[in-house]
Amino acid sequence: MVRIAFPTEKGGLEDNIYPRFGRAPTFTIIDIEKKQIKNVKIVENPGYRASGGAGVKAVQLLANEGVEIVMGPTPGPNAYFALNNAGIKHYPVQGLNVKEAVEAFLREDY
Amino acid sequence: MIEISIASGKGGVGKSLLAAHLALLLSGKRRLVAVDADAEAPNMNIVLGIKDWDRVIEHYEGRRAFVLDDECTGCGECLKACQFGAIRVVDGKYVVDRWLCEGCYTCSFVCPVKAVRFERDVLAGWIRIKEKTRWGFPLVSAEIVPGRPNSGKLVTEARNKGREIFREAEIMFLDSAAGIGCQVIASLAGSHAAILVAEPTRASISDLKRIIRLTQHFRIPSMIVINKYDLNMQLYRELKKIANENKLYYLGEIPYDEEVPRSYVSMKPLIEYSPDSKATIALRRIAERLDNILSRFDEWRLEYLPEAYKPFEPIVIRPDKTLG
Amino acid sequence: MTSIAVTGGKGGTGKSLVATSLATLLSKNIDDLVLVDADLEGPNDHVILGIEELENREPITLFLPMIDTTKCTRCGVCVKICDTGALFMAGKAYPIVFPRLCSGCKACYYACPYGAIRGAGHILGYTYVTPVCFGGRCFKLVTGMLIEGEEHTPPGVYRTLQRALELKPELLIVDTGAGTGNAVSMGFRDSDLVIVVTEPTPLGAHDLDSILEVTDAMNKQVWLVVNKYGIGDITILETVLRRHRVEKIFHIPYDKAVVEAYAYSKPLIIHYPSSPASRALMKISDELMGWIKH
Ligand code: SF4
Ligand code: SF4
Repeated sequence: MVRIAFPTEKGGLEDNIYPRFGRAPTFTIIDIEKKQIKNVKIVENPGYRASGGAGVKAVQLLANEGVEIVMGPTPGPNAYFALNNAGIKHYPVQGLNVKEAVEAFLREDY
Repeated sequence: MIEISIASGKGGVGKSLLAAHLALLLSGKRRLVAVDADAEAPNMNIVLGIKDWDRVIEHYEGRRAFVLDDECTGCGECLKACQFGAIRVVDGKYVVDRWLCEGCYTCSFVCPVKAVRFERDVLAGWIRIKEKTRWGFPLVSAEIVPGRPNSGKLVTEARNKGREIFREAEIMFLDSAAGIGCQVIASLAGSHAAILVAEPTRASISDLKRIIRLTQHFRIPSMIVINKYDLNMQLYRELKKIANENKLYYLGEIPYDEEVPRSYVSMKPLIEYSPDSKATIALRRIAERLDNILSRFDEWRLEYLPEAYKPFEPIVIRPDKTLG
Repeated sequence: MTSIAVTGGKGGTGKSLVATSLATLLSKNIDDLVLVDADLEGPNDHVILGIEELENREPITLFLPMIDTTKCTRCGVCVKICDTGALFMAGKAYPIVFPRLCSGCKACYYACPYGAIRGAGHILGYTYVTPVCFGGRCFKLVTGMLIEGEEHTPPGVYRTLQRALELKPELLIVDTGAGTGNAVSMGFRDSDLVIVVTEPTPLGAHDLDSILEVTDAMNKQVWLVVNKYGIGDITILETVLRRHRVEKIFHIPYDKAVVEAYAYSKPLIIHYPSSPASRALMKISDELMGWIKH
């Protein structure tokens, strides 16, 4: 099983990937097992409401949720460092919705 | 959408003048949206002569401490612990200064009787929206509550609103916040290009150098416009040299022109108030050049991308007993 | 000690010109005068005064947590409490610190139930104390300056003011930063008199309104200086002034000498003493002297 997160607005498979990482209102977290979507979960991003340090707060959430991969826009330098530290991989994607991104992930296997 | 920040370090060098006129002059040719993120002194609407708004959204954020008078025993621990000087004694009582409180929890931790409480989601600013200006493009403008902390959140919110109300726009012009603090970082981070505005004065040159360090940090390809360039030829040459050394694209220069302040008073954009003035002609030329760049943006971007990524290294010193 | 703040809302109104000129003029009569350049994001009083090199540098050091791994139980309390996102914990590893995000508030230090946070430091910027002398009369210029890329201006302003107070001046003049945020309101929070500099344009009027909103709420005594008098229409300011409390109003005429003095870093009142703008500044300084005495 692999757990992937996507920055989103309202969240869900049909939602578009949000153009900014730390300031996304929600993250859509998806479990993939045997090339199938197993589980879809939408969590609120504490970074969205933060005055500062949004990116790091977002990564903290992802780390707490046990996310292994995040697909979306490039995070800022602090968030990038935090992602590395937490061992979460980042795959850059933009302009897709979540479902399309999952399909791309499954197809290309990155 | 290509997001272009117009930044200057300090205010008062013609940043809003340029931002407003670029939007105005290019609006006939391109779909664009203008965002005024200079939340401590938003004045793009004034340069454009816009007096009313279609919508005003209140922006709530953060928290603020207050001390319960009845429970406070007057021990003064909070005053000693606050790192922002936000706690003061007024008539023998400890009071949190509502202007200075940053909303961290320090005072509440040190208070032995738990007399510090928090007020949440305080009014922090406003986002004002004009769906369609006379020239067709929408304008979004952010403003903080005077005297309260400025925030990257409000800037981000305004940028989001800008993109939301006009999703099909090709370009967003962002009148960036003044200074070099977190608001500027929130306006620059994620911008595709920056236009730096400077004037030939020592103060503006040192501001420019600071802002260049930031654009290099974020790897934002940048252009430069020199305002009031004929004020001091020696410093003008120095500015051009700095532009050259830092790989800034030279977008143009605007002469000193007394029609500019007069146009502010008239509440009309300069190009309408004084269509033949020296500054108007210069602004038109600058807009044309920018339009050319936008037509081959990707190519331009690659050419002017700051090469050396200069990571920002904070200066950290070792643990020390005197610090806590 | 008497404390005066000079502020102005947006940048470019001539706030620094007024502050530096008043300091220069008043230092003729006042021995221990300190001028504070509290515009940490772009200090330029020294530039206007024609000073090449700032002196007596001292770092502005903020608290920065350092985790003592012999005591830390990895409970995660500090990470939850930190408001700025400066602490981060991957899984069950020890928390790590992001110095640039940290505001030095010290909340984590007080929150840690195990006393596992030790104080280290993070240099936000520098303060300088530079003697400035004209014609044998001197005052001290205290300058605060952030290191580029640093974001936490208000604590820096606070430290800069503290350094100025340590000099125990008889008269303190604070030149606040531009804008209306709390880095600015902090600059005039403790002043006996606030001098607001504005210009007679709609831009000036808007910012004047914002700044007077704050001075009213703080119950400050306010004098207004209308700079570049003559370029605009003074009636624009009248609607704003009707809403607020302002005790005195001065005018500085629009004067090419100001632009020239600024462009060539020559203090206006030293190099152009008989220009109309200089004479207006001298008048303000005289009135101030009277106000200070009584
Ligand atoms: S609060 Fe103290 S013990 Fe808990 S994780 Fe932080 S440093 Fe470690
Ligand atoms: S001092 Fe304040 S801002 Fe810095 S890490 Fe601790 S809680 Fe966060």
